[in-house]
Amino acid sequence: MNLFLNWLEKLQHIDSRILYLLLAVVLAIPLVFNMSLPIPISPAAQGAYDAVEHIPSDKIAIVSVNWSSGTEAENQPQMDALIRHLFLRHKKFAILAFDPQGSKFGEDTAARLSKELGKTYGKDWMDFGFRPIENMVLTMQGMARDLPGTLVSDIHGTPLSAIPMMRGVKDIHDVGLIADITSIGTIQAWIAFIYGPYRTPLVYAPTAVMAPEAFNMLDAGQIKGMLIGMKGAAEYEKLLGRKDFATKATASLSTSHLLIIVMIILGNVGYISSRRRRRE
Amino acid sequence: MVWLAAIITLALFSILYKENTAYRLAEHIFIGAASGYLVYTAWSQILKPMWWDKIVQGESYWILALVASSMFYFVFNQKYVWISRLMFGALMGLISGMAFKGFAGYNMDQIHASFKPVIVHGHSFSQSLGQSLSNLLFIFILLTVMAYFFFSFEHKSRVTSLPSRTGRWVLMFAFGAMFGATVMARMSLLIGRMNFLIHDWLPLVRRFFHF
Repeated sequence: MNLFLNWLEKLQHIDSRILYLLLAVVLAIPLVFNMSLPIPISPAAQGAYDAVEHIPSDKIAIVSVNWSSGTEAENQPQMDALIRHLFLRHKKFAILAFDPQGSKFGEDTAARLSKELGKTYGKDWMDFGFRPIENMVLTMQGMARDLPGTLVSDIHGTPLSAIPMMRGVKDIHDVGLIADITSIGTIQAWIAFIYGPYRTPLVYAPTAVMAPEAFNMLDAGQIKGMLIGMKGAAEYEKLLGRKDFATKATASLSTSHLLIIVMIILGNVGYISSRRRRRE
Repeated sequence: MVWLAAIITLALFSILYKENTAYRLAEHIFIGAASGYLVYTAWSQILKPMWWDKIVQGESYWILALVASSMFYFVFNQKYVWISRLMFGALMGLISGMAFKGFAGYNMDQIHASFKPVIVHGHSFSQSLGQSLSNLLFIFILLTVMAYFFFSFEHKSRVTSLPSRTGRWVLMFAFGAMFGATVMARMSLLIGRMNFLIHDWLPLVRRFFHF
């Protein structure tokens, strides 16, 4: 027992590079051997799925892409799953980005999935392009009252009146769902200026950091569903009957968390024992 | 492109070993590329179609947008700083007005949702009991946390100090949950990069070195 406690105390001064290496190995093993774990579906992810299923056929969805390459690992699988679901259920949608990199990611993802699933730009999906985040609230308020007048043209400069799926879309009442895929705090603006006055259904796909603060919005019904980081994307993939990147990554996520829990416990036991010994 | 991405990824990870030039170079390339892309996108998707093309096509009154935005830069001149204050004042007025609407639109539904029934009648006894306990816990947490942030008088008596201390403990639980979610987020980002190195880059390395 004394030997174990001595070892734990020495562990407190371990070089952190050894811990980084251990973490890398623990993360890599499930990826190399394609290990997978069961994925239970959370009510938040189920809510997001149901919200997409219930988009009226005469309305469009807006996929708001507000993330950049720094959070690609979390937001890309979420966007993949959401756009695939929209295509599979023949729901027309438009991409709107308040981040310049997000605009590119959104366009590339939709183009790739559109090619895979045989969809047509302009008829099944379109892209409004990038709008500055400094004007986000003004853009939201403007499009709520006059969508074609505010957003004017698509990413290629084509007027909205020339895009088949946008004919008949006048204001926010012609939008059946807004999916906010984000690594920045844009959902508050969507809730404050779109859901609050107009009750347009919202689905939220944040990075995991932002998810705990959003549960009160979920509880209040301001958002219909939420995909919590990569885990949420894995749940959505399961609902779609697919096993893409997020599903394959959940085993690594679990092993890394297990390692951190073990390290925290060992660290605390070592700290408490060293404090006791110093007192003796 | 895969090789370039892998080299920059490994260069950025090299900071975990120790501070080095490769990391600094990769960091500056990343920041520079992101900034450059922002400038390009802002010009090609916003300024050119919505402002420059309109001026070129004869709607010359759009030049006033340049005049208005240039007024901000007078903040750097001591003599003419009052010019920038006209724009800042207008902007602050606009934002304040929007903030009132934003506050009502965001918070009213949550305040309404916080009035939960303590006794819930569900489809079954277990469902009713579960939902009732959940609502009771919600109300308890809401009141104790609000008690913690009540600073109008000192919490001397047990009646005021006990809920306040309980609220503090509950806040610690919430911060722990937020920290756990943060750890999950960071691990997810690391998994993304590891997946790229293992499944996109390593096969190229194996092909290159024939093993």
